Amino acid sequence: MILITPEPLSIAALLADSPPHPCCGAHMQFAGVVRNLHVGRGVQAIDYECYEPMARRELAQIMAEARARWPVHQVAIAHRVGRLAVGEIALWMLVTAPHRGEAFAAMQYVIDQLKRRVPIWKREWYADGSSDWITCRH
Amino acid sequence: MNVRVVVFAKLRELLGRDAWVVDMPDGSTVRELLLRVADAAPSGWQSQVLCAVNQQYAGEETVLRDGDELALIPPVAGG
Repeated sequence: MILITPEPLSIAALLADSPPHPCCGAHMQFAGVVRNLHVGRGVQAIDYECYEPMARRELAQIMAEARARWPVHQVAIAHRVGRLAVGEIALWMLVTAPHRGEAFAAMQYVIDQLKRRVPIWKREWYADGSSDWITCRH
Repeated sequence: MNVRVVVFAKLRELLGRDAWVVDMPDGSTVRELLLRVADAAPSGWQSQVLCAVNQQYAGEETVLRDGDELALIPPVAGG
């Protein structure tokens, strides 16, 4: 499942679409949330911009790579676009697998590749009214 | 041939538009189209920009075809 949406992400709704499977002992979720601080500057909101047809293609490729490397059962990714306030969920991911080891490894791989390759950008808005397009350093 | 150029984020603001069509000679490469774009761009615009042709990352030597979409991709920051 790949979801790119301007609507708030509801973890309950996302989970309802990806129920636990009897084969999977690991049902692992990750949520990336808008933080109130970036390199010492107070952040009030973030605008997310996305080149959606390519983002979908890259995400599908990354998910296929994870499946080829680890015996994962499900991989699901939801990403918000538009303006998000501090505390809102920007990214939600799910990886399910028979055991936790492969779920952790696949989750780490997918999020690292997402940050490296998927054409999504963010512009942070600061308390003084200024803003900046930022690049990921973490 | 016509190639559609799309740009995003900081680059979109720097160039003052998000999409336009460029008429190029048949057989032109990504590099040649980048040079054309550079004519209308402030200096330094190209640092760290990657290219994608038809939604897939592509090198500057890639030969373009009529109807292609070239995306100029500044450093990404998803998640």
